[in-house]
Amino acid sequence: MDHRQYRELFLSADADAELSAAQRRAATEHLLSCEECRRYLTQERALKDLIRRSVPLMAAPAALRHRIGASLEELDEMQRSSPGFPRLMLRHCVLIPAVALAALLLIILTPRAIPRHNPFFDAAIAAYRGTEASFNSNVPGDSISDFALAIDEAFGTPYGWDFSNIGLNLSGARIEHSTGGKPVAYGLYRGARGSLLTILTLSPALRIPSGGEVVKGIHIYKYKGFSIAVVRYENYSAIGDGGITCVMVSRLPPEVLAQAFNFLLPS
Amino acid sequence: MSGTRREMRQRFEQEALPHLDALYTAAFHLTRSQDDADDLCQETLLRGYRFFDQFVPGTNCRAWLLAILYNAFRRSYARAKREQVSGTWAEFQHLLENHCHANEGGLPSLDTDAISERDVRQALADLPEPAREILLLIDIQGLSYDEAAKVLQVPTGTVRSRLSRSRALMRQALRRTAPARRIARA
Repeated sequence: MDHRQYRELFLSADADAELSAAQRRAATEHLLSCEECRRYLTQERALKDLIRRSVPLMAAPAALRHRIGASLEELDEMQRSSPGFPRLMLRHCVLIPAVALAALLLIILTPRAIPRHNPFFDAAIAAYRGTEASFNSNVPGDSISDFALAIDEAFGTPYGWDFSNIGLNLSGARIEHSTGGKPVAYGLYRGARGSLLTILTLSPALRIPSGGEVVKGIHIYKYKGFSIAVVRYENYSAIGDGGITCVMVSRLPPEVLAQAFNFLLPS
Repeated sequence: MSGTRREMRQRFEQEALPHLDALYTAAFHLTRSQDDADDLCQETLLRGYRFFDQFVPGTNCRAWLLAILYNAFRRSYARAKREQVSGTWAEFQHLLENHCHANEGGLPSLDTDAISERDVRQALADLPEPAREILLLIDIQGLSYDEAAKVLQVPTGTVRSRLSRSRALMRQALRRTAPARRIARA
């Protein structure tokens, strides 16, 4: 073994005690006759020690501990109320199959008060929770205009939300298609205050549940600790057999969503 | 809560939650943002809880959680940063080539007594992302090469070579820092 071989292949692993027995023997043999490499090994250990001392473990903020505890509680609660379902959703990487969403839209969005258990809202919440685990974007680019262009291609009209006025920026976008070819677009917005998921579907004429606050035509509901907003645009799309329904889910308070909608839309 | 679910929650609280500080430290140094570190830790632990039945008892729970955290980091944060921060492997290799040319005569010596802990933290923050990732796992989290290989999803030999190069970059960065501090003191 020569100097170069030791320094490039053995030095770090020697300092970390990660050499195999045979490598250990070869390294020891070299070090016995090489003062320079012994000095390097001493320095490598000193560097490792310096890094470890300089970057100690940080204490996680108390607010984060509280937030995690609350999220675990919510997860347990969700699994109690619909055993098996959330896990199924999450294993499928956030996204609700488009066909299931469309079917749920047909069944659930009827003109009556929001029931205590609304499967469509539960599904939307499960999708939102899934984004906390993972969100795989498939729309090129990161900007809202990139997302709007992708929606234009899939839905026949450009459509995109800008929530920057409440501190949320687009973090990822994904478009899927049901087996029938209908598109569903997911937009995930994140910021220091929290996150929000938009779910956009093509759907036949539907009526939105009554109740909730209406801001500029957008219905905002408080449901199981989440804010859910629903807006419907009839005959908005150049393709498809109806209009576009957009559902938004967030842990942000309804007032914050209302603030965003007041800002975004014309009176 | 069902008995099984309750037991799972208890096990998770006993085995996983004690690693929150370690996760937070990794998340903070990866994202370099307290808010992002908060989100990344929450995402990691929620995902860990959902899939806790996949954790093998008796193995290193911190390494298992770090694997989730690193994956989440790559998915959620690295993509956005890649365009604005010089953190790709291509740049890492470029830096290494420069480093190798600059040090063909041998490894630079380093006077560790002349370097402050703040210098080290700054040098770490300035390193390309791949170098920072491996140093965080081995030198700060104390993982073995095999455990780090699982976290990074690369062969153990790759961990070894990356670590060697990353320490070389760190040494080079600190050598630049230490003389500057000596001059400032003088």
